Amino acid sequence: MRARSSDKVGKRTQVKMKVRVLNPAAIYTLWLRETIRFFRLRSRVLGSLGMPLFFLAFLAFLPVEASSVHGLRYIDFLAPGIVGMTLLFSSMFAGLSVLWDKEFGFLREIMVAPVSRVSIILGRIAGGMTTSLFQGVLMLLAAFPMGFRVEGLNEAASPAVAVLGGVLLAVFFMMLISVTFIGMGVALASKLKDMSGYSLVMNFLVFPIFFLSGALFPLDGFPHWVRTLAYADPLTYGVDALRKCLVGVGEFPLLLDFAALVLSSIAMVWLGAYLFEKTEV
Amino acid sequence: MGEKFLSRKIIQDCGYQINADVNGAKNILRRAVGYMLMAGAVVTQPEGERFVLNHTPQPRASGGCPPMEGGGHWHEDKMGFVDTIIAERLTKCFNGLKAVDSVTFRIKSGEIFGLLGPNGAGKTTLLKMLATLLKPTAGVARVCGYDVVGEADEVRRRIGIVFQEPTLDNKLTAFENLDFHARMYGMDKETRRRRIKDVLKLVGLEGKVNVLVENFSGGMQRRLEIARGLLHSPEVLFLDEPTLGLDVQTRRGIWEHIKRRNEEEDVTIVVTTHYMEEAEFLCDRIAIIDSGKIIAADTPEKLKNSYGSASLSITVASQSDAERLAARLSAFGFVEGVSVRNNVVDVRGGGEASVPRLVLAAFEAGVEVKALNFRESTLEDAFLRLTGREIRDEEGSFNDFIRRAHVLWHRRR
Repeated sequence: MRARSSDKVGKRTQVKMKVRVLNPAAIYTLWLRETIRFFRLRSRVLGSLGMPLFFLAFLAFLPVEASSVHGLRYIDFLAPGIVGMTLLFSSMFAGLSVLWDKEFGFLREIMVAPVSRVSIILGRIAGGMTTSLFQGVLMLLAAFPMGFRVEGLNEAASPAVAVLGGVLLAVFFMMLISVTFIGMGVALASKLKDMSGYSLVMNFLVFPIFFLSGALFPLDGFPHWVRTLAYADPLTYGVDALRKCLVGVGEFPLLLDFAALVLSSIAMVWLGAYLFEKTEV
Repeated sequence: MGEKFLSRKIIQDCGYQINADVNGAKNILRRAVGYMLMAGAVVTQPEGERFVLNHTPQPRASGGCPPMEGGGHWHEDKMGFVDTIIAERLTKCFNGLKAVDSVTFRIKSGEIFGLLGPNGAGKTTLLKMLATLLKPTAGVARVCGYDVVGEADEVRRRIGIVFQEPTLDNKLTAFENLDFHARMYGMDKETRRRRIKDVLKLVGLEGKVNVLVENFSGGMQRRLEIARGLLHSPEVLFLDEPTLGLDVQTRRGIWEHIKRRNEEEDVTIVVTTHYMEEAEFLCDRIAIIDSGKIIAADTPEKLKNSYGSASLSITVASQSDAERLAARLSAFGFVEGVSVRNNVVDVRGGGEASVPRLVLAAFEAGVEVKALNFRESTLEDAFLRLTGREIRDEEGSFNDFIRRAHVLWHRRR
């Protein structure tokens, strides 16, 4: 009897395995909700763009010598960094929005739906990526009136190809950056019980990540241990890649940036999915 | 069918103590025991290394189904099992504290089943376990024939839930909220349009399709949530305190909706509440739950008769008369208690039929009866007798407080 009953159960388990782990319709639904909300809450968009915009506006006039920032005009050095910053903040916010949903109950509505947790995470990443990409591109456009010039990749055949290829590649790197930090946000939101942990994350994680990334200033002259920390910061590679794509100058080879960001995205998404899977609401 | 044997491991894994070291095997074992329990197996004494499951198959209906006691009817799912919900020794601990303590019950298809209990009794925790949102610490639960842990997706597909706190997205319109739900449950475009129209009409919100939910009143939000719970035509609808904080009119309206859905669409409904009149009005059967345990489960009528007591107040001319009468009445066998307040004698026990005998006794004692007041046994009497009278602390953190304040603030607008 025992053997028979486990046979039966075994067969049913196989059937269950066919329940889709990836559910495109659900991912689209979650994406749709995120984008509707984003464009409905215009004041929030404006608010979140405020800080990077002012960083850009005020720091653009810093009297920094070109020789101290890899031979670039400071605005050309700064703008990709500020785009990286925008992506960091908006992606982290998108990931942490799990907390808002927890707070206002909507997470339960999502969790009782017959949709795999992986699809839920992917839906949130898709939504968050769209909204933070939108903000990143907006910030890039805002840099132009302040004197920012796109030089493009420096090894390209013609200037047109350099600029176009550089921008497209930059958008691709922007995606990788946002996936990394949405994953991190989801992971944190799954561990945090409520909103009170939010400022802790912002002040003790997001700001260090931002300052260590070399978005505002090169880290060449800093002590060894600061630079070591910076090398552990995914945003360092993100900002470096954006600089390389947009103004043609960077610290690391583009391939290294790519590898580091792919690695960090996979790690963060995995961690986010793992911790989210275990949340009980 | 005789006796079936299961190894110690299987039994233990289902909340009869012991730990499973192989995680993958755990679900399979769990399910195996679930099936046996559903098929009517009863766990009895251990025999050495084996436990005995006495397997007595439940009566199967061939053709017409015989009506079941206490409403409801036989329901056979594809596995040939009878009950829509089965909970066997279901337990949930939070930090070593047992919120739900080895609860066992069955809910028939088409039934409205109430979980009635004081604050913090474990009603919501129990509901969340059945709704796959919390993993049981021990025990087995099956909903619509599927295990709530191992086959959570299958369960989720078949249930609808209306939570205690609002779970709508305030920044979306009524339509968008329902559309989100419908898409998540994989409904195609045509079905979505039709069902959304249907359910909005059902709860009388068809005029508010494109209004943002944040502009809804508390009652309207509640109705929208019930509509959403019904959108995917679930077999079981869980309602957690469906009328908490609503005015009398809205509450009545929501009760009517719940009853009608149960009658017309044959949805099995599980509702938690701490309102007596709600439980009495809605439920075919009520389980009274306190400190994580079910202490009584029956139809409202039977609960009232077994645990409540009718009372008769006899007003007489003076206190001395009252005391004389009280002494005499306490001699009756059916009287459960007699007390005197000034010139009034309160007699508990008996029932309507005992009134003439009590009055006659008063005449025989030469006591003039000025007024009679008969109070029927209520569910509240039964409830208080079963759960005691001490006041429960509502569990809640500062965060809950903030959220509640926020909700109230939104409702008021």
